[in-house]
Amino acid sequence: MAEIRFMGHDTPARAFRARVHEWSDRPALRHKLRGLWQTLSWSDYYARARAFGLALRELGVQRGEVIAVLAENRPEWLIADMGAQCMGIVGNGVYPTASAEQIRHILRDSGCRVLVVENQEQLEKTLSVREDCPALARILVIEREGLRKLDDPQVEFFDRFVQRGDDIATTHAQDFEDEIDAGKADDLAFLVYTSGTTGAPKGAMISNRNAVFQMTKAPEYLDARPGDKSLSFLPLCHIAERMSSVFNPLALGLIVHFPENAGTVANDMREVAPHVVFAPPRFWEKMHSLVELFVRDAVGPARWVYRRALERGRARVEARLNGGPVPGVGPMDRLLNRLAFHNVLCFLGMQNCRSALTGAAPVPPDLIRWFLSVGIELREAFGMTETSGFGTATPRGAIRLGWAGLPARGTELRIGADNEIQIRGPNVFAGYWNNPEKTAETVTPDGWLHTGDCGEISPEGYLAIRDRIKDIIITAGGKNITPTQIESQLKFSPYVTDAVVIGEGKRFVTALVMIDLEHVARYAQDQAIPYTDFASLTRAPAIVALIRAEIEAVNPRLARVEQIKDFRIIDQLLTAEDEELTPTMKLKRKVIAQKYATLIDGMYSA
Amino acid sequence: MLLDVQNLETWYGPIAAMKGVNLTVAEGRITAVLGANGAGKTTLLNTLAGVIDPFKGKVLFQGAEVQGLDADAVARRGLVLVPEGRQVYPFLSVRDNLLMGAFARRDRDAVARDIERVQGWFPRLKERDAQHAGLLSGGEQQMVAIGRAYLSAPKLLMLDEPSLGLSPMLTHEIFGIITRIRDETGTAVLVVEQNAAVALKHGDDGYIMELGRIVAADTCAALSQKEDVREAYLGTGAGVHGLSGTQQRWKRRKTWR
Repeated sequence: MAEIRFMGHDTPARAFRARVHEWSDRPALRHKLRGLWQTLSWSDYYARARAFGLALRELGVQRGEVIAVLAENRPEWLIADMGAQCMGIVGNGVYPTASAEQIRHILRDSGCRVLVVENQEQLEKTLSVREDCPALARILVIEREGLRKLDDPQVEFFDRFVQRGDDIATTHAQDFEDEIDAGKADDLAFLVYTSGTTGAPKGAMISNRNAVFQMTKAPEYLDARPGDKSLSFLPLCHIAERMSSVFNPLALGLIVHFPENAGTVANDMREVAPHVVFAPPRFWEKMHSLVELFVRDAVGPARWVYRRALERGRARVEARLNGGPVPGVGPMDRLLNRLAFHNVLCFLGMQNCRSALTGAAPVPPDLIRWFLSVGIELREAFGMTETSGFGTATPRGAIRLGWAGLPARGTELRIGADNEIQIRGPNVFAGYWNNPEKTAETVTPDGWLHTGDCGEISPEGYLAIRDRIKDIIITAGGKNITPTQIESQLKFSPYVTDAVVIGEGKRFVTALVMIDLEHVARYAQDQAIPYTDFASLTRAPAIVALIRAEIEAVNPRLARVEQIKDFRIIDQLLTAEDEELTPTMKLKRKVIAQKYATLIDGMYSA
Repeated sequence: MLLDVQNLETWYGPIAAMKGVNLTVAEGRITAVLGANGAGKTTLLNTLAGVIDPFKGKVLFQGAEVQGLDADAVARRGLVLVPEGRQVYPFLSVRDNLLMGAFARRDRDAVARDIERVQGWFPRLKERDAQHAGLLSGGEQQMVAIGRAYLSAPKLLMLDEPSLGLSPMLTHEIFGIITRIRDETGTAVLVVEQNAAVALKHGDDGYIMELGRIVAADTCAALSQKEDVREAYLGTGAGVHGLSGTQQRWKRRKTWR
C-alpha cells in the first residue's frame, strides 16, 4: 500500500508532536468556565495528553487495547483521545444520550479498559452495567459535582488521574515519546461505533493511515489558516466531528471551541463566529428557518430590504448555477446585501465563515440556493464512518445542485450492482472491530467498500446519492421509490423536523411526520389555534391542515407514484434519548414502522 | 366552561414567560397546574387575575372576554386570586382582613354568613378574631388569605402556591379545606402548586407546565399514574440514591408520553 504522509509523518500522533513544537504557545482549545472562555495552548494540550497517556500505561492498559469517552464535547474528550492515541491505545466514544443497554454493548464489544464519564448521570449508567464488563479496569469522572461522598475503588476523578500522570511525566516523559515513535501506519487510531439504525452498533476501525490521509485532504476541502476558529458542537463520537475537532486542527491550526452546553450552541456560534463549519442539513435548515421567522417578526422596512435582497440574490445564484451570464453587482445590490445579509450572517455567527459544508443526509436544493443568496457557499459532501470522513466533496466555486462533489484525489469511485456506490482508496476503513464477517461483507478482497448507498456518477465525475439501497421502497405497483429524497423535500418546511415515507408493498405512498414544536406552536399562537399539550397540538385540525398544505406544496415536484397521498403526525415529542431517534436526531425507519404500525395501517385501511 | 384560556402568551420585556397556554376550568372542579420554579405558573395566575396584561390570547370567563381588564374589574366578576406568600394586612385584625375581601359587596347579611362559614372551616381564625393578622403563623395567614378571597364571593378561586412554607400536615389541612369549599359551595378552584403530590391527590383536572408551555394535561388521577410524572414530580422513580452511593443531582430529560 502506498505511503501516506502528512508533514513527513505517517501517524497522527507524530504529526501532533510536530505541530506542538511548531505552535507551542498558540491557542489550540477553548472552553467556557463560568461564562468565560479559557484557552489551552498546543503545549498544554500535549502535556495533558501525555499525562493521561502515561497514567493509562501505569494502570496497565496495553497498546491496541480500547478506552472510551462518554461525555459531551469538551477539552477532556480530546485530551483522553489524543493521550490514548499517542500511546498506541485505541480511543472510542459513546454518545452521552446512550442508554445503559447501549453502553453495555459497546463496552463489552470493544473490551473497553478505561471509560471516561462526564458526570454523575453518566457514572450511574455505567455502574449499572459494570458487572457485565470484566475488562473495565477504571472509570474516570470529569465533574465532581454531587460525588463528594463517592467511595469506590474502581472509580476515580479525571483530574486526579491526570495529576498522577503529570507526576510520572517528571521522570518518565521519554516513555511517552518512545510510544509515539513506536506507532505504525497500520495501527488503529480510533474506533467509531456506527449509530446503528439497524441492528447492534458495530465498531468501525480507523487506522493511522486513514486519519493521516484525511489530514492531507483537509486543506483541499477547507479554506482555513492557522488561528481560524471552529466550534465543536456535533457529537465527537461521530466520525465527522472527530475529524473536524481532532484531526483538521492538526492539519490546519484551527482553534477548537467547545460550547457551554447543548442549549447554548446558537449563542456560542455568535460569540465564536467560526471560519469553518460542517453540519448536517438539519442544522442548516434550522438556521434558515430561524432567519425566516425572525424576519417575519421584524419591522416593515427590514422585511422589505430582506425580501428585495433575497430576490436579487436569487437571480444571481440561479444564473451562476446555470452557468449563464451573472447579472452585475450594482451599488443597489451592495447596499441591500450590506443592510440585509450582513446582519443575517452576524445573527447566525456566520460572518467569518469561509468553508461551509454539509452532508450525512440529502440536502434540499432550496437550502443551498438560500445560503448562496445570503453569501455562504454551502457545499455538499458525501462520507460515512467507513470512509473515515469525507469520500467526496464539492470543490470551492463548483456547486452543482443535487450532486455531492468529486471523490478525494487518490481514491477511486465506481457504481456497482444495484447502482451501489463503491469506493476504494486510503480513506477506506480498516474493518469492523472483532467482526471479520461483517468486514468481509462490506469491503471486497481487492479493497472496494460497499457503501450501501445507490447513486450515479456524472460525466464530470460528480457523485449523486439517491438513497440507502435497503431503504428503497417497492410499491404494490412495482415502482421503485427513494424515500430519503422525498423526505428531504418535506424537511425543508420549517414546520417539519423529520418525516418517514412509507409505501413498501402498498398501493400508494404515505408519510409519518414529526413536527417542529417551536415553529408549529408559534403558528398555532399566531392563528389562535387552541391546544394544550403536544399531542393535542398534533391533532388540532388547523395544524393537520398546515402540514397537509406543506405536503401538497411538495407533491407537484414529485413523480406521480411518489406523491404522498396521506400522512399522520407523530403525536409524541421525541428526544435523542428515545429509541425512535438516532443520536443525531434522525427518525429510525424500522422502529417508526413498528411503533406506529396502527397509525400506518389507519392510512391504508380506508 | 367557567374559564376558558386560549393561546395565552405573556412577556416580561424580551423574555417570553408563557407561550401558547390553553386550559379550561370547569364549574365545581379543582384544577391544578403543576410545574417547577420558573415554569410560568405564577405568571399564568397573574395574567388571569389582570395583574399583568397578556401579549396575545384570550381569557373567557363565563363566556365573556376578561383579558386586559384591570385587576379590580376581574375580581368583581368573581375571578379572585389568593396571591403567593399570602400578603395579608399585618396591622389589621383577622376579622378586618376578612372584611377587606368583602369590600365590594353590599349584601351585609350574606357577608356575615360567609364570615361564619369561613370560621367554620378555619376554627382557629375564630379564636384569633381580633388579633393582628401579622402576628399569625404562616398557616393561619394562609387561612386568612383564603378566607378573605372567599368573602369576595368568588366564582373561581385562584390559589398561588398555598403550600408555600407550610408543614406537610398544614398543607394537607389547607387542601382539605379547599376540597370542602368546592363541595359545600360549588366554587371552582384553580390552584398552582410545586407540591405535586398533594395537588394531584386533591385536584380533579391537572396540567403540567414547563418553561412556559403546557406539556401534559389530563385528570389528576390519570396524571399521577404516568411514569414521567411520577419520576419527575412525585419522586417515586428509581435511582434517588444511585449506585455510586451519592444523592442524585441530575434530572432525567423527559419526553412526556
